[in-house]
Amino acid sequence: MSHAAAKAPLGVTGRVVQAAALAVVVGLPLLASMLVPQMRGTLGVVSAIGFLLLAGTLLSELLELIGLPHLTGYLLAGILGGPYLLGLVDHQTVEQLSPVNTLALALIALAGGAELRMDNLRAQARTLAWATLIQSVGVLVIICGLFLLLARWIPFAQGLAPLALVGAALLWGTLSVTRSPSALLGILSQTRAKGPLTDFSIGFVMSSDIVVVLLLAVVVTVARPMLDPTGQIGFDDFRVLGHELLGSVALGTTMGLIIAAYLRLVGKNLLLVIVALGFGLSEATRYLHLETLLTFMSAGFVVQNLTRQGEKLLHAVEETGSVVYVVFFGTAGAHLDVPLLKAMWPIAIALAGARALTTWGAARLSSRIAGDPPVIRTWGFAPLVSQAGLALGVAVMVERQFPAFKGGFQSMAIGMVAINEMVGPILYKFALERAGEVGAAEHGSGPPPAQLAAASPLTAAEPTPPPPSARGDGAASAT
Amino acid sequence: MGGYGVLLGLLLLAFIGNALLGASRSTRAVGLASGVEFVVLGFVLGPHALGALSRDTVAGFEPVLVVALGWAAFGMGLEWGTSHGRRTGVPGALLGFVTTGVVMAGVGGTVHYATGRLGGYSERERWILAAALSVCLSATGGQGIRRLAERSSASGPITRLVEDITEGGVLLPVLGLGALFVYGPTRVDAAGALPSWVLLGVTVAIGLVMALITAVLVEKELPGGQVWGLLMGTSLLAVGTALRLDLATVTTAFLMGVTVRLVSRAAPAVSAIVAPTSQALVVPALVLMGGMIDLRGSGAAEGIVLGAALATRVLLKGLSGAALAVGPARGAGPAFGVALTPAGTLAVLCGVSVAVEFPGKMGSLVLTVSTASLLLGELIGFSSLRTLLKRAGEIPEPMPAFGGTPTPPKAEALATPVVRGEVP
Repeated sequence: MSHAAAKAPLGVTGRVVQAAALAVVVGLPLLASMLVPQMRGTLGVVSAIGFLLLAGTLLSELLELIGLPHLTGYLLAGILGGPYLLGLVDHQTVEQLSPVNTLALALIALAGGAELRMDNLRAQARTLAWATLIQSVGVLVIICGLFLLLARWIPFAQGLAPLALVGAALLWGTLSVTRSPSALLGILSQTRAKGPLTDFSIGFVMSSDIVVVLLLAVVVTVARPMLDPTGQIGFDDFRVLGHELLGSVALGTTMGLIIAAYLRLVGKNLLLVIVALGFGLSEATRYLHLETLLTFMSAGFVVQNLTRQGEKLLHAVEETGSVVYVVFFGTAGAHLDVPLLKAMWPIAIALAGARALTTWGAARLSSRIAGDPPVIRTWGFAPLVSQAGLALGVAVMVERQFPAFKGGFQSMAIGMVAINEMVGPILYKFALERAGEVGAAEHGSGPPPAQLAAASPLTAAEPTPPPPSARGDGAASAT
Repeated sequence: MGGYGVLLGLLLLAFIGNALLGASRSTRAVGLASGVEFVVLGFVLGPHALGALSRDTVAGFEPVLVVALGWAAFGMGLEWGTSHGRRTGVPGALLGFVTTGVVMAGVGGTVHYATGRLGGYSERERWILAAALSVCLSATGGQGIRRLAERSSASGPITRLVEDITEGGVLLPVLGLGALFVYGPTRVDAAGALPSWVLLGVTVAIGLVMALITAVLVEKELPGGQVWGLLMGTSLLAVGTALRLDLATVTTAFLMGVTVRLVSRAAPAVSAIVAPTSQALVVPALVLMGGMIDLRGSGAAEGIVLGAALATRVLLKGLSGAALAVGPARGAGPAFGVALTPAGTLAVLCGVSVAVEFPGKMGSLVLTVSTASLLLGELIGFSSLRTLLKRAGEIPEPMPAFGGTPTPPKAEALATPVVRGEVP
């Protein structure tokens, strides 16, 4: 993903320096918060972002020593500084960081869309079709069954009537088929992987967002009369859904063409334009009740596949990676309800484990049917385990639609997502390493270190796209 | 206007700011040297005129403003001691230090005396107001002067002296602001139990510690792609920690920049990243500054304070300049002091910091006076400087349109000045 050249490995001194710096980065704001516990107004956001950026970066560097992905470091920094441990990022600040998260998610979706290449999708059509069918429908059905089996230990499912329990199981199954585009892109950004597994992950995880939106609409429509005896199946929901999907794609396409025109005709101040676009378009989609992720993905997809500006866009978005992923996952870590997880960890682990196992089985089956290469057959499940913002968004939506759960569905979802959020990236990085794809996109790509000034994308007048050798073969891999 | 609307507007302004201050030479020629037009724009959009920016909206953008100020101060620190790519001359810088000190003392004394005579302010408020205005009105706007020099291709000993004086005059107001934030606020938390000198030391120490972390990490990260995140992280953490302790973020961030410059081999690369963005951020900060100006409750007394403070600034700058004109600035003429009256980014940084720390009547008065000093400097300072440099032959004559013999520009003027933010 990132075009920046890889840095040389650090020696012991370098790591000691990083550990010392981490101690200062944690100690300084901790001392300040002990002296002045409350901050006036919204100013706590400033040090919170600073802490997440620095602690996240340093922790991720140190955890790299034991092979953990950077995302885990960012998450741990958030948990460490979050409201339940050190309190450097309190509840209020976590809420105030939501616009930053919105922007991060928009940029991640834009990059995700731009990573989808038509020729690559065409080449993998059979693989992706089987995987989508089995991973969506198959996993949903099996998880439903497992949920029903485990229902007596799931707090919010206890006391539900049998039909309502089936409705809850269907919703839980839908939640289970959500993946994490942000975790995927974050790992690819770090590992600079390239190869069949990378291509498959990008193609599957990015398109699964659309599948989840569709599936959720269907399941909500079906589950409503089950959970609410006065409710009826309302096909009006599908009209709304159609409007949402078509509207999102239309808006995304328009924005994609505008972005491409800007890149071609002006091509300057890309960071500012992207940030403005991220905030502006997110707000527009919220106002128009459209799908934010789908809109941005469509925009990125259009720029990549209908114009020649795709590499420029990717490069510009990737330059923000050192900030976007750290803040996004750091905030996710700070958001993590540690006491809740502590209270329901056994059942959360059971549900997360059941999901992982089902995903693994479904991946083996779909790979066999599609006749995939061994690397996908063995490791194709690994990128599908991570869950993050999208799953939590689905949980929030379910709670809103079905208040009868009284927050229990969302709490359970937070518990499971927390586990998948921690385990998934580790598993995916391990899989990429085993598949021998880590660093494969590095050869010949990226500007030389001397072009450090370009690290300020605000002024990068003409970002240097990577040489064709890095991507010219149509591989939608991260560089 | 909603929060997102304002945010998009500010991003647009940053875009414009980058075009005006950091991009091509042709666009840099557009706009006033001090950027005061953006403050006026903010005022016009603000609650007092069109009402597009409500008080709540402006208050909601306080974190953005604080971050912008910190980043700009960090950028100033990184560049401190250089002008157009050359090292600042020590004699000129010392003269700048002394003249700024004189103006600080004069403005502070005048404001303290005037507020005492006028009444309506407590003793503590009088001291704070005097200190705040002395900090905001003492320096000469370096960035505007550099822009003017660049636009008019000015080059020569007087141009260099003005730039040196400007650089030398930065340190006192920055440290003064740090002291104001230590002695000014009433502290009710545990930090209030610490002696003032400790808090002043903490203001400096945060900058130094974060600078060392920046230096160490950036040097190790240079070949990688995380520099941008590290720089943002260290600067935000420094500013955020100073904010929590009610200390001067501008002082902390400036000292952080200076330290990085002194201790890190990567300072030029860091500067190449920070300088253009800090220039771009100043424009939205100027607009928000305009939106923060609150003239409610201002009356004749505030007008008198404003007039007295500005008059003292112009008078003392004039006298200092006249004194210099018989010495190191020989040939510049007795109006040399008027050429030192432009105010710039530092006045904005100090003014907004004070307004955020001391909201209400005092903060608003400081903002108003800072804006007025920008305006006054724009009206009399830059034109005097241009005239003076022309008379001294340091600005080349424009080429005649038809016929006539073009005056060859001086060899020094032919050299394209290195602009702040551009890698020399």
